[in-house]
Amino acid sequence: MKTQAIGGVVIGLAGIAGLAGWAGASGSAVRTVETAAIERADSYEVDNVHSNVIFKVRHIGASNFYGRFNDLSGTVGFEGGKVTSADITVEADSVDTKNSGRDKHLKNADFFNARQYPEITFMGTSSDGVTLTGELTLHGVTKEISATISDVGSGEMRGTPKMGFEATFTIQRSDFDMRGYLADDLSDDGPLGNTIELTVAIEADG
Amino acid sequence: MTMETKLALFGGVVPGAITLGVLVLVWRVLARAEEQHEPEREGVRAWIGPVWAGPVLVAVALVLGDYTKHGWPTLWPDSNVYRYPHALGVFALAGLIEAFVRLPVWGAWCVRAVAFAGVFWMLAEGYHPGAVPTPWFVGLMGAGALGGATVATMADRGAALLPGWRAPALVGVLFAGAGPIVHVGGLSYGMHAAAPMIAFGVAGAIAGLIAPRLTLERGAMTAVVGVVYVLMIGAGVQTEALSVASLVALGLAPGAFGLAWFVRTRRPMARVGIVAAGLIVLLGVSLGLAMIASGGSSEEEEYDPFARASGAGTPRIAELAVARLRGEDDGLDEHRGRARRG
Repeated sequence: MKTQAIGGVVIGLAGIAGLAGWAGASGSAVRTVETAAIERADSYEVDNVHSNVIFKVRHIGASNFYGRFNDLSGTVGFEGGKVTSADITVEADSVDTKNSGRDKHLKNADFFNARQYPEITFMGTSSDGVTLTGELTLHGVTKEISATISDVGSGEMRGTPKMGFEATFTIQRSDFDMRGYLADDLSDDGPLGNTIELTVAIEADG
Repeated sequence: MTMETKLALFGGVVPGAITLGVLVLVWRVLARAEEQHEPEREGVRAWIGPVWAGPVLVAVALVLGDYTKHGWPTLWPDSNVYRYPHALGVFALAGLIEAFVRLPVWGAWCVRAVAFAGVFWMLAEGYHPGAVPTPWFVGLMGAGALGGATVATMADRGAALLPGWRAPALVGVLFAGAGPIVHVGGLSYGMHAAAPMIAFGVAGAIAGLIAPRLTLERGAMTAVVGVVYVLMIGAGVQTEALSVASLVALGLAPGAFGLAWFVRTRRPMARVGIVAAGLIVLLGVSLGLAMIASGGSSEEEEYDPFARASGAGTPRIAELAVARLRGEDDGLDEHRGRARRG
């Protein structure tokens, strides 16, 4: 009788332990699923087709000229409807100003020197949801810049969750050792201005 | 200061004035003093003057021309494009070694080969291995060293037979062709290098009229060929080569000075004529090949990299020449008119 009681306790303990183990395993599985869902929700891949990088520069003091880059990639982090991070790479060779002669000139030694510096990169370091700060590497020079974030939005396309935003910032190209066609006083009154205004409109896939 | 004013001043007037002043001073004062110290014996070239001035002046001219494009040079820029003055520093150093150390022909060739290899590394290392894979990098460095040293040796030997105004004037001809060639090939820097080198040639020719024994041998021609080599790397490595054949013809062009060495004649003007003919043929072939390769669309022709703010005339002349060859000069003139009105 005593033996049976001990056996029952052992079986009961084993059963409790097994149940607890099952419950633990089940709880872990649930947590993993939740974490993955959060990670998927946070990290988005840049959709090159629906994203743009546009720049504006003063031309011979007379007008503002706009150009764009056609190839970009990277990842963007979102949390609570805010941009938390962005690591973006732009192919310098993809500059497009609607004139192939000018595009060749922009790619060559006078400007982007795209054969030596094929990529323009931005590595975000911090964000408060309104201002995204990070390191911009352009023409082989890395500088910290801050971009203003706006128009954060979300949507869905053929079942793929989408997030998007627009970032604007301004650089002085002389800071990035791009000396071609600059005014002596580094103002915007030279053949080409020193100030470059950039707008980065990103759409990213979840 | 506008870009065209800067180019005219620092790419023309200043290097020309420095070259004229230094050469006249050096060759009239120092050369005379050395002549008195060591008079030339009949049939023996005992002394060839203060030749160290040549390579230094070529380097100074290019640094001034570079200033008009890139500003004053920094110590060691990361962008290989900004290392042209440094490259000319290497060629000037090689030239000074030739000037101060009496080397046999093969010894001077070796010094030049090392300089050409070093300059290739300086101007192309940033493009390796991305744009220029290792086998190409090594191959081009070797070919540049061998070819550059050989062409410079031929140019140096030829310049020895073209004293006074002759060799500097031909250097002017060389760069009057080289600038537009690399410009058509996509390197607008061509004009910023050609202008001071033409100024060097013109000023040297004037100085050569004053000092008939002036010579560009032993150093100066190494630096002159070096400037051409820099333009070749700029148009063929740093910029995607438009026409390799055009660049090869351009690289061979300074070798035309060597015709004065190969062709036996006692008449100095005949030597000048032969070298000039060789230069014109090689530069003409190079320009023609570049024009054919540039072939481009009307869209590309409409783009003027110098715009109104720079206003350098020679690139427009090159474009006009291209258009005339294609029978499209009317359209280009119209475009020029629009640009002016704009």
